[in-house]
Amino acid sequence: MSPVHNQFLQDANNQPSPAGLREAGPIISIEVRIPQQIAQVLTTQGQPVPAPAAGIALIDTGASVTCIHEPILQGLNLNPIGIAPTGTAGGQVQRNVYPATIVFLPQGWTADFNRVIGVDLSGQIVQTHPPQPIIALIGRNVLERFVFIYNGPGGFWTLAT
Amino acid sequence: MIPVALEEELAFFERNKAEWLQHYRDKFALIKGQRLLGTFTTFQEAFEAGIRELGNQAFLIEKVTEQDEEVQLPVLTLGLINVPRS
Repeated sequence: MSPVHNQFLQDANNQPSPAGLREAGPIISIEVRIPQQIAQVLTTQGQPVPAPAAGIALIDTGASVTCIHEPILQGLNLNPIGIAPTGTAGGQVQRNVYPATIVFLPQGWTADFNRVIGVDLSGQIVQTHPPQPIIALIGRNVLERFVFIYNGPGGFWTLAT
Repeated sequence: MIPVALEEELAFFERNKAEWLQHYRDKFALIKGQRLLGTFTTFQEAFEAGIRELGNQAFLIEKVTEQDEEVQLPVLTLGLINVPRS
């Protein structure tokens, strides 16, 4: 498994596309899974383990914590394990905190998190062709494990372990 | 919007916070309903204890500190994911 993932955005002529990177942003395919500890509990109880949910995540250096579209977390039968105060334009809002495992699909990197924030990402899309819904924002509690390089003129970004 | 869960647990935590700051400062409290199930050095320890004891249920893990750290999500707060360029 390579410790480096480079994501190049290209135009119709297969040339580097800074404009494409500007439009789409640093997006990556992920799977959201239930943590192994919970999967073991379900298996012991004879209950089915929910299948992972796949989708597009946006790497967001402005987010202090990774957040995931809350209906996806609830669709995995995950239960809250905390409450996080989040800043909004209208003041502080309490949001549910969940455990989750995230797999970065291009490289198969797996990250177990006991703290992701459930948020509403309805209608949030990434400007790919065709446009795709965003299911997660990868924040700094994940990024602290990686080196992230954004090359605007080159139209690519790099994530390295 | 999905309602916030764990309100009972959070209220229990707030009622006991002043006392717990004296005994469990910077520890992670594991709470279910109105019961303190234990305090732990790390969030992960508290999480694993919660799963062992309660299984796949909702429970609250809260750090015993003076003030909660606010989560910052400016791209959502300010609606910046898909801003038109024009």
